Amino acid sequence: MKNLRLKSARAALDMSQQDLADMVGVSRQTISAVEKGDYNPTIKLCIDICKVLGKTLDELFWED
Amino acid sequence: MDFFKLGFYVGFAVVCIFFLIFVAISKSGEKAYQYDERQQLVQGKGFQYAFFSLLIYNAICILLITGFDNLIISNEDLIFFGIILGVFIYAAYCVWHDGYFSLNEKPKRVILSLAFCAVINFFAGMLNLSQQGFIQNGVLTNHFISFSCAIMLLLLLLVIAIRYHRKKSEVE
Repeated sequence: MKNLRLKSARAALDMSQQDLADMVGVSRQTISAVEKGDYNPTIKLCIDICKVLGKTLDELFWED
Repeated sequence: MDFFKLGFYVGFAVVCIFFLIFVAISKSGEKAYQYDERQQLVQGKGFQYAFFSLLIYNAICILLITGFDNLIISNEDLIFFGIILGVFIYAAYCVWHDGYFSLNEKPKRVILSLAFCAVINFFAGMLNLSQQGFIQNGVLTNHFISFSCAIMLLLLLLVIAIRYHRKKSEVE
């Protein structure tokens, strides 16, 4: 399932996938895979992404 | 021992020495190659596919060797083709899923070294072809090994090129 919340949170901060990838220490393709729902990130990467985007885990990764 | 075998063993020793130097450099300091968690997962899957492909290939080879008396491929070639197959499957899978190049690695440098190795192997293969030929007494000999390495490296470069163009067309 696509993670549109992550994509919109990133876009809201005017960040490219590469910018976010550099800040959390992964490749651009990994961020792309997470957004597309092709890859389930570990909790460590989720937390790193949340910290960079200023969001909580619930806001970005919790599925209702 | 003929010159081909001597060259083979010397070449093998040189490659081993270069590999050890490369590993020592790559594990030290800022040069350390770093892969993220998804890339490590991709590499694990790549190893898995390469391993099982090699198992299946070896099983087929055993059947061929025991079933046929006059194979058109020498045993050295059969063993080496297995290595080439395993390496290619691993590398191609990792390239295709963006797990081949590390985070701090310049792909251009790797591509150039692969191309350099392909050219060296191609010319070594051509030299073997002109001097002794690939086929002797109706059997594909170990003189074909360099050429097969060149083919594998060229195929890998092709996979890298296709992947690169697909990535370029990806919309963020």
